[in-house]
Amino acid sequence: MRQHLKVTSGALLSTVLVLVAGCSSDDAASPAPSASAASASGRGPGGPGGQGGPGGGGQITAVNLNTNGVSPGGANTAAVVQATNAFLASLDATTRDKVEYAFTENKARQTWSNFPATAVAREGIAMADLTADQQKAADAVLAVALSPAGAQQDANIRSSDDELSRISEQGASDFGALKDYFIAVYGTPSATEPFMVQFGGHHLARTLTYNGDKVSQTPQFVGTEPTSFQKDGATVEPLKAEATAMFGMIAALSAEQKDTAKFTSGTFDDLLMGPGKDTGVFPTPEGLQVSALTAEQKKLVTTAIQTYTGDLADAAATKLLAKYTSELDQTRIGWSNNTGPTDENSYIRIDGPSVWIEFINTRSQSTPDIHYHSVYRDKTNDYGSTKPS
Amino acid sequence: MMLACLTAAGVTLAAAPQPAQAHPLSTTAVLLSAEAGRVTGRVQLPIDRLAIALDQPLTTAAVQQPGKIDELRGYMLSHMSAADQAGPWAVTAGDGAVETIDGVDHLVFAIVLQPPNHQVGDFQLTYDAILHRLVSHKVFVSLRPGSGKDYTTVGVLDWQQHTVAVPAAGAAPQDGFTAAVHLGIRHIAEGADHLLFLIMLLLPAPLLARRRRWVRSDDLRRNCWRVVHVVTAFAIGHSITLALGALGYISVPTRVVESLIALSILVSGVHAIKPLVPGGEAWIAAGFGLMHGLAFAALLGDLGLGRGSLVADLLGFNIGIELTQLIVVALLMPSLLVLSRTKIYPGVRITAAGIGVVLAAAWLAERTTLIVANPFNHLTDALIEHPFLVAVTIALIAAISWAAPPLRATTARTPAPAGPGLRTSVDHSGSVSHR
Repeated sequence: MRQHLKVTSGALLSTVLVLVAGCSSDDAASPAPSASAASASGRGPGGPGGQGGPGGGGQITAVNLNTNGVSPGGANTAAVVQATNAFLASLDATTRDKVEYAFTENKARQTWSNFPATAVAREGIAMADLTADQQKAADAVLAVALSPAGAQQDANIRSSDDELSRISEQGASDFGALKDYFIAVYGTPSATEPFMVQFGGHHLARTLTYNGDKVSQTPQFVGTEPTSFQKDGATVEPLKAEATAMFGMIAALSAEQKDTAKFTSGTFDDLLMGPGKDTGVFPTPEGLQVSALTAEQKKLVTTAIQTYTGDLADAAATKLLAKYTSELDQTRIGWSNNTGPTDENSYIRIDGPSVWIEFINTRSQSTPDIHYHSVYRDKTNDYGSTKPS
Repeated sequence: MMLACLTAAGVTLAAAPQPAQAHPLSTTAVLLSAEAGRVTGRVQLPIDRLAIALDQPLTTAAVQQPGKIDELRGYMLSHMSAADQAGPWAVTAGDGAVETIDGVDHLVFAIVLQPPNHQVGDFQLTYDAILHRLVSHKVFVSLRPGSGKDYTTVGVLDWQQHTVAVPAAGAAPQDGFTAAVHLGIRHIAEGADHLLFLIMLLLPAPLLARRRRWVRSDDLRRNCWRVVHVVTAFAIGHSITLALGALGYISVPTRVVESLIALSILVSGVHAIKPLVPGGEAWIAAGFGLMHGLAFAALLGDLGLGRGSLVADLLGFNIGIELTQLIVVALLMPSLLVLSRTKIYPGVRITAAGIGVVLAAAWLAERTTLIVANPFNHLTDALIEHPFLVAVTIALIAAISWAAPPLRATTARTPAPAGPGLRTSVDHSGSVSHR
């Protein structure tokens, strides 16, 4: 018995000892030297293949917004409230919940992009997820808030995504006039209290903020790829008005003026004040002073601005254009790279005390030609807010 | 094997999910890895954007000319800096290479950012290559806490912002010295072979070799000294080769080192069963300690330590190893000393040593590629991660066997004049001073 006990406890202890000894397998010095050697040699300079960011779209860093933006007024707020309420009423509770946001949700309000929704997720609900009647009600909101030209431009830009999806050589199968366009409503539509209608997708951002009589239509992004295409036997050019006016404005400059207007601070392959650039910090003004232009040339600047402000319903758009026109003498225009509508990286800017418009011929890998990106901001009224602090 | 790994890496790159984009206007990516004592990384510059920024007709072929790539490295470095409160970091870049990323050719440089005090903390990265001229360009800066982890975007540099705060302090595995200490602790605590070697040497520590047999020694003071000798000898042995190996003076193939380590366990296991070299544990510990040091050096090199402050890293790593050894000794030795005074100790010792010999033999066979798979790996793997439970169990067994009078050894067999424990007046070396 005693002997038995000795052997048993001895063996038990020995096993335990081995447990201690065999604490763990270890990469560098333990059982599998060949494996550790392989991992060392295969490690290489490696790393992930992808870029570090969200599809290269940049990050939306929300800034604080207020409701003190400077607007000359003239908004058709009551009509927009009515159309928006009609749209909301057409939705079931679940859908409506997706569409409605508190007015204070700044990050969502600032979420727009020149990337498709697959790269930068939009707020609200996709048009594709609405019934035909609900889509009609949504379109009606935009039709009331915008001018006929503005509403037509939206339709054309959305068509361009169908076209892009059709012709794309690479990576555009997710685009479409319905599935890539989203609508959201911030705050309760009201003729006296602030609210916002957000509509957009791949190449479009409508940011319509109402505050009683005041309205903000910025940031406003328009773009199109391709720049021109055929639909139902007709040629569609979603940014024809903007492109014609902007390139026309530069083309009307004398050689000397053009030289002065050329930017020297750097070169461009896309917009500077695109999505996410909501801090209110704008580049140092450069280029040619509009005050140095002839009356005829000034008119072309006004025309160019009008192609952007004119997207909004009439009365407010007219007041806004008047304001920008009154500021023309403190406004500059300029260009970089090239000045032709199909040239590489042609870049044109209008930079005033309030108005900021950029237009660029940019590129993608989806089509062989350049395509247009353009952004319009109001330095004193983006999202209906003064410059963020 | 190398080719297979490279191929696998290529497949991973190609298969990485990319969102559908109609606008992959190429951006620059700065991919950073926080490591012990430094930050490494890769900068991926799209060649077509580089061409615009430099206003040069750069092609992929042109970029790859040796002179050109040196020039472009210089250009990039002149547009990149890093600094923290302690001052500017040293920024270096390796040989550039062209890689196709998202269908666009990029010039890719490996970079190393070295803080002046070898403490990786939060730092400011300033970068405006391409961006300083192509003002609409974007630079995505991402960070990961060491290789193998996922990247997180820490910021996007653009015309408004050329500097980004990189929160590397939380991500870095630790600063150099502490990291090295931790590494040392972890390495030996998880290194079954190192611990087994040590334990094999400690098994006969409470015994004396007499006529090629182990006999019990009741001289506690002498026994403790022998433990100290063994541990010190092992430390001296592996420190020598660790230093020489880490400094690059000696290099032995990994497989040879691993095989010799297995052999060291085998020899010390046999010695624990039957004394091979009477009183020679210290010599065995020192001799084979040299082999273990080579393995430590290889690990140190693998982890990229020892580039900043080699002496600090070496010292830290070694301190970590010694600390862990002392903990193991502290946990086990009291139990072994108690057990050595029971009748079950010969059984315990021989069984433990026997198992050690078998495991060592299996490792040796595996490491010399005599066998493909080690049948005992599952055993050792399955029994890991509970060192304290194991130590407590041994202590319990020791306590029980000591408390059971039938198991307690009754007669002292030490040839030294029997004394009550610590106050024994003569030790084996005869060096006790007389008062």
